Amino acid sequence: MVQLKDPSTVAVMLAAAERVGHELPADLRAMTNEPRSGDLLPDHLKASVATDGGED
Amino acid sequence: MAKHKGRGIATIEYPTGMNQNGDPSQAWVKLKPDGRVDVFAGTVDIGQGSRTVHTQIVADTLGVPYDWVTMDNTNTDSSPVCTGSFASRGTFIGGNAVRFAAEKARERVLDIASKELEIDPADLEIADGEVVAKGAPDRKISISDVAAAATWVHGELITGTGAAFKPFAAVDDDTGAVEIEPHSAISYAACVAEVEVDDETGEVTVEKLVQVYDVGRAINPMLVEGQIDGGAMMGLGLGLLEAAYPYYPSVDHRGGEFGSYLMPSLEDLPELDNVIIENPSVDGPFGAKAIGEMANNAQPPAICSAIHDAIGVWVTECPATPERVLRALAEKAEPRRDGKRVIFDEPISIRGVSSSAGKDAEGHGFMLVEE
Repeated sequence: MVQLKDPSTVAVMLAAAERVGHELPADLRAMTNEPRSGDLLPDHLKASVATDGGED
Repeated sequence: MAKHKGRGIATIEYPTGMNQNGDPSQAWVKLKPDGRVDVFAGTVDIGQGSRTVHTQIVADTLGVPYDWVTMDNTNTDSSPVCTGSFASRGTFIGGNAVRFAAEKARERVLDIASKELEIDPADLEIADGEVVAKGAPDRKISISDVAAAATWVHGELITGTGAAFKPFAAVDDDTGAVEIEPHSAISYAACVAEVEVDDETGEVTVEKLVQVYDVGRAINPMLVEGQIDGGAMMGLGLGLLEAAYPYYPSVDHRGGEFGSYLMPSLEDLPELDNVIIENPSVDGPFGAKAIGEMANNAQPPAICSAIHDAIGVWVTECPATPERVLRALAEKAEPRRDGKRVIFDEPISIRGVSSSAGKDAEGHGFMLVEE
């Protein structure tokens, strides 16, 4: 399984929103770089997560 | 008819270097008898500043002032292998090569200093051109004196070589799975575009670009920002102007000369607000990832998203020329989403230029997007 060691998509998006003064909803502001699970997991990833043990 | 303001965002991830042992870089570092440092490496500086960055990496790794280091990347006969300045690899892969070489030279410096000071190398550290005993700052020797001792006392050339190399990934024959990352590092960015769209002429003016880049560690922040600024201009061109064949595959209206190729000038430069985020790579030199090519990727989708925010229609092919904006307004093109697919029901001109875009069996255009 290949797992990115230092993802920061969330960090750059939050920083961009803050920079332009756009207040994101609370659930988006609470995002982290940790692998998603449960209700936060998109449908198309559920099968692969079940196969590879929960990380993408 | 009116002018409309809009704002859009795009996020990207961008890999560094090639994979499957495709792009080794090597370097050689040696100390002159006076302690000054020569570096031989093949990374070509095409304006991105790799000579400066590699010099910084060697100076900081060895613990000597920047101006003690002479970087020689000018001679393919004498320089070690470097596969080139491409794939945003100059800092990460070329930089790792010079770092590894400098680390080996540093080990030799400490070993020679150990003999001169009669102190174990593990109890020594290097700072500002001097080798100093930990906890006993008066016990020290300059690197100049270490290099002289190596030359005239110990009969040694202090040197080090380094090679950065992404090995083959073992591929599972049954599943195709691999166990190592396909790329050396991945950088991330977000771009917010603020535009004004004239719904009568179709003209789009980008008024501001807010660009956030995670480059791991900005070894030289001014050079990183320079690449972000330059990338913004290129992205602006890709998003709004540049099309060698505007009616491809037809050659109609192809420019007949360089002067007819539309690209942005400084007059078109929007307000730029650049943010550098440092999320260090565990493998990069001093935590660096890359900037390079990624700097011109996020602007076009951010601009198209901003156009949608402004006038409510999607321009589905770049550059977003006035003609395409007006056509989208006329067609009121609206995509719908199905998982990773964004589907356009209209027979619009999504061209299958890659595996992530094309037309399905029913003739609907689609693009694959990351969730």
